[in-house]
Amino acid sequence: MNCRDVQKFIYVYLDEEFDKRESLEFETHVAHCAGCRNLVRFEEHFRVRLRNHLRPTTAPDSLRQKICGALDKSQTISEPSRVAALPHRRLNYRSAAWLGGSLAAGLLFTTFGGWQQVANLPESGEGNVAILGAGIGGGFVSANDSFPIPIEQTTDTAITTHQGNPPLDVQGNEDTVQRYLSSKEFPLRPPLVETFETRLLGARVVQFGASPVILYTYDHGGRRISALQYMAPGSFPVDGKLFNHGQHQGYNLVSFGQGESTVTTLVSELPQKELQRLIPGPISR
Amino acid sequence: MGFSFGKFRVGKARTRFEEEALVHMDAIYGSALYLTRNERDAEDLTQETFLKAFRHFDKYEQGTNCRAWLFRIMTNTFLNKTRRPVREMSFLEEVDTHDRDSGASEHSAHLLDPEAGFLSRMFGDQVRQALESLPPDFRTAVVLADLQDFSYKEIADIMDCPVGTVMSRIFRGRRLLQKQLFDYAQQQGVITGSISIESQETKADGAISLSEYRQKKTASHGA
Repeated sequence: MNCRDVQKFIYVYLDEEFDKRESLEFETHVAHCAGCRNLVRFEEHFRVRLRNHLRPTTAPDSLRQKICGALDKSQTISEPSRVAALPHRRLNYRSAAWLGGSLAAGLLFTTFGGWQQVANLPESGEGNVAILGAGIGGGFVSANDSFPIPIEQTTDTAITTHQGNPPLDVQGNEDTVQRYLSSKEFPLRPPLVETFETRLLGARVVQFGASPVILYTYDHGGRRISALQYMAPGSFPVDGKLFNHGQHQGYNLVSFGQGESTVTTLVSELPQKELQRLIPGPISR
Repeated sequence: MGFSFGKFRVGKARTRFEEEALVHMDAIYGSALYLTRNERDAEDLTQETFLKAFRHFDKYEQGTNCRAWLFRIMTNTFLNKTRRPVREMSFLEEVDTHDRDSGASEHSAHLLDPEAGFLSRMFGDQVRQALESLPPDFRTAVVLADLQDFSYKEIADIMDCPVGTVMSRIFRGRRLLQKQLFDYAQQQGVITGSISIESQETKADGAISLSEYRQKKTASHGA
């Protein structure tokens, strides 16, 4: 080992990453070289002082509570019993309204466990938003697990909505949006968990006859995600169920259940895996 | 069928997560503070780390190093963000500038005589400020080594890079820190002159090659 090696590997030595033989070689050279000795002494002192100054910090209690709350929410979304925390009757009422409205509008189909896209939907005057119908003959959630539903049967209209990027009724974070939705008698939670990377930009309520669909717009690392939230028919718990995922017209889509009967379809240019990672809570396929 | 995760499974996972992962919240937050350089972003990064970890907790192998696994998630999240031009993230500002400047400054990093009084003038605020001025990759490596005391191998796993790159980042990061602290001391008039100044060599790709050194030694021993 020479002076150049000592300079180059001084931290490897001080961080105890050398093996015994290498350390010995290092020390042997340093013992006979005043210049290297000074260098080692300086670096050793520097390293110790640096470490002394980098003191551990305690996370604030408010953060701890926030994270535990977010984790609870992850569970809430996937635990049927806790979905009841939402105003249950109203939700059921809404569920019936969605279903009834959809039937009235002729938007639901009896395909077992399947989706069908509705072509040429009447414009509601509030934007070109898809109604994603769900089968009522056995519904989305079947005892024999007839999933996943083929992606080609899902909606081009969801993609059209995403492409159209209609203006939002309300802009803001989860609290703002949730307050707005409650004021419109939709006691629903935005479907994704807001994080450091995923931020809710706002929402839009679109009515097709009596059938509302909530469009949420998220920003995820600078890329837009449209989340269409709608009601699956019946009272089947659909929590954590991945209904459908895949690529269509160059976009990635994924549909998953939350709570008793709420289904969300995400549309984005984000990679499929990344999109699926955003689904809160455990997912079963 | 279809509802295989139930309250029991979810509850059990949550308990396990609390026992194995949430106990590292102070360490994650403390490091996030240095990486993001402000409390708000540090809290966001910490929260995102734990939410991601919970989401993927089934992929965590029980009994392995949960702390390192969490740091890997945090580091990837942080570095992915810093490598992406997202305007709203305040801690991303000037990252490109730092990256451009880092090459020049690390080659002129000074080695200072301990007797010059420089070390005794290292104050906490200055250290923090100097550390926060480092480019994200160097800052992360130094935080993982000097705050969290991870080994080079662990840091390589966490940062998903070769050990040689870790050595280089720690080397360059610490030297940049020294230069920054030396400049502070000079501004305060504490330092009257530097003693020893030598440039340091790293490979062109930024990695210090210990394996090259070892190969050389093996060859010379064999000869």
